[in-house]
Amino acid sequence: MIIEIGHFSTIVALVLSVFGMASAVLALQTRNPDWARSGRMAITLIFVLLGVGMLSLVYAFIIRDFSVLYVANNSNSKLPFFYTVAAVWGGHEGSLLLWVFILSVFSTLAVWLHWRTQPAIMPYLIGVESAIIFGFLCLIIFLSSPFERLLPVPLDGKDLNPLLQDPAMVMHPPMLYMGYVGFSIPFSFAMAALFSGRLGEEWIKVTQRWSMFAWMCLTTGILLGGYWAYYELGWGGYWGWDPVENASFMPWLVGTAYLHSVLVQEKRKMFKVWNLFLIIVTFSLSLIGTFLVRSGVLTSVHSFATDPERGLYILIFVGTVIGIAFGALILRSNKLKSQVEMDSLISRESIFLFNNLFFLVAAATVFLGTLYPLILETLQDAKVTVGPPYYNAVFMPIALGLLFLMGIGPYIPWRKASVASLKKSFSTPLLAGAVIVALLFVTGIHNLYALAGGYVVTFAGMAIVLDFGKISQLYAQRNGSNIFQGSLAAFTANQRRYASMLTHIGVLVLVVGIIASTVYQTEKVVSMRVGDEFEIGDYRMKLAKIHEVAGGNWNAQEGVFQVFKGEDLITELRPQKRIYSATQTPTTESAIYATNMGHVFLTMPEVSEDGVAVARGVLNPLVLWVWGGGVIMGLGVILNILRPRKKEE
Amino acid sequence: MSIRLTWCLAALLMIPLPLSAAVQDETDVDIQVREIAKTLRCTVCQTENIWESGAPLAQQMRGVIRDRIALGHSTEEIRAYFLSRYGDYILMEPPKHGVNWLIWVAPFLLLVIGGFFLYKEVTHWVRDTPTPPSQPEPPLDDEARKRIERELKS
Repeated sequence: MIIEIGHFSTIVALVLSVFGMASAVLALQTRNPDWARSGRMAITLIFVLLGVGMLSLVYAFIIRDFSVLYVANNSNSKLPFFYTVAAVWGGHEGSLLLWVFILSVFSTLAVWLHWRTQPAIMPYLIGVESAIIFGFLCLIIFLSSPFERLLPVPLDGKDLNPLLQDPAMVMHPPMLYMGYVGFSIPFSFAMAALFSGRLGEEWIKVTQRWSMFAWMCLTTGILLGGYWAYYELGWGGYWGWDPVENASFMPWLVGTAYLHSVLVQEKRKMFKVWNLFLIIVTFSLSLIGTFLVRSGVLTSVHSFATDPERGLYILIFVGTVIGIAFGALILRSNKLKSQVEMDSLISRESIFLFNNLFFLVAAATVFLGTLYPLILETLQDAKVTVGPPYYNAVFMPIALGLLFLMGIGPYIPWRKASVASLKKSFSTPLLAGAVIVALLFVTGIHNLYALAGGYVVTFAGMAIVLDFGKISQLYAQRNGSNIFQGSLAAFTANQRRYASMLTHIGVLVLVVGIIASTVYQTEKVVSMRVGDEFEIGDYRMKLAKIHEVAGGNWNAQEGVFQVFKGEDLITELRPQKRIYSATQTPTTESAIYATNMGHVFLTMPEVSEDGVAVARGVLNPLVLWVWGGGVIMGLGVILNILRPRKKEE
Repeated sequence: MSIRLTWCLAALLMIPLPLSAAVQDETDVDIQVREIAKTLRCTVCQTENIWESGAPLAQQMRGVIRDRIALGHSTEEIRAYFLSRYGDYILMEPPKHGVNWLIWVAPFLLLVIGGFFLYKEVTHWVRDTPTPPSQPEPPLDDEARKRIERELKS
């Protein structure tokens, strides 16, 4: 009964989304503000109704109502409570519902937050958001419903995929979706700007915080996904250039380009078409990412054919959104010709353009790599794999180029940089990079990636530190305070700039983590019996015993490994080989000991019947910097969003 | 020490003690298996190599690699064997021949072409922009001070 209420309210939400679109059109035609107000009410009601839909599904999961097909497919009587709620977004249907629910939350927030200050934009915002909600709800209700009943009712559910029964997986999809959906707000404002012809900088300024918030959520979502892969898949890596990962990385790349490029328009009123183009591409990639991840299309074109209706609908929907958006952009392009004023190739404007070029080429590379197997399969009926070796080879130079630009961009003046100022800003960082490379080389690091990475990270980091140090000192002198108070004063005086620099530092930390843990990873796999030991790096692992342990819905063989460094017992690691009861799926649960910002990572992928265990030890130096860098990046964005509003904003 | 006792001790050292801790280590074969396995794709997984994959098929394929090493085949021969059985799909990256060259050079081509056009455009814009009257550059400290004043005001 409850699930039918959810189903029904979702259908009503669909009807209201049509009403939302209609009221937006009427508000524009009649110029009667009542229509806009009823549109606002429609959006708000959609949020409430979809909330009811979500809750009814959550409720069905909590009471384990296996008469609901989606619950039967993604839950089980023994599934722990914590995961029953997360199982709501464990499959295609439920995650689409979560997506559109988050969209309704953000739309409602945006409509109420900007109602007073942006009255002229509201009908457009309501119209665009209603249209996207409409598109999603049609898919959910007609082709991909999580509310369907199952007859006869099975005795038990098929269980949630054991790999998804993990805390990181509980948070990963909502974060990712908040990122995708968050970009719909700047997208809607951009559409409003295009349709209304108010093509100034207004829409960018209004949505600046939204964009940063979306970007932060997307970044967090991607990093959480990496963390999940790291300890749940058990091979000691966090990024596999898997099509699903790539699908979330593409909007991130273009979104990052957008966040930088809008700064040029804010300061110099240039590149209007370009910024509209970037936000349209970002949101389109978000849509594509959402749809393709769980529909299986990315694995093979053949899986597309097994479910042609859904696939066709998705194609048409995404095609329509992209078509309308770009159509509007092209129709408006003559009005958008802004007078470009460039004083020099050596200026911040120009660096931003090259930053954009690198980000877009990076995104195009991922796009091409992800779709190439599909294209080749369609055209030539040949199958190839585009895996990590490809991306590592082509992506590294692009990423290093971007990091180098990151060291230049914020410290080169707008309009025109003189040779003297370039020397002053960059000679020390350039030199520091060289010194670090020499030091790394002497200490025995000869890997080309590590050295090149060391150079650009030092260069970019030094540029940030030098600039901030100088400003802090001036503030300290001026206020007669010490350097710490000076730096605090400098930070708060221009919080937007320095919070961004904090995010940049996070990126650098992340990059160091990636390079160290990739290039200097040590791995060892040995077969051993109880009592045996093996050495990896400075550590000695002794298999003390293997015993059976049981969780609520799984049984496992657990290896108890004593970890010695020299003669000292430093810790015990307990990797497991689990079998989940409902599906009889095996998983390997890793055990991790964190030390010196790195990880000692241990799994036990096999245990034979005569008691021989296969142990896989991995040393990942500095791997904690990957997520530590992510935290710093997020902190930077939060400080940026929470900065005090200046008068002109 | 008598010669007999020395012999006994020596003999004792040669017997592996059944319950004492044996230090296990990877053999050269293990390392070779890993090197080969990391370059081959698990055909039933999503872009995972057969070293990292936990799928039964990947396990079997690792076994095949090990057997072939035991038969004395070289790394290249084993890779060639898998390539002949499964085709290009088995490799973790597109082999550099024929149409595949396209995706290997595309990123750099895009970067070069994009960079060239950007450079042309920007220099074009620079030429079209009226040059502002040139001013001598103020010393840095003044400039920085002005920046502070500005930031303090806002």
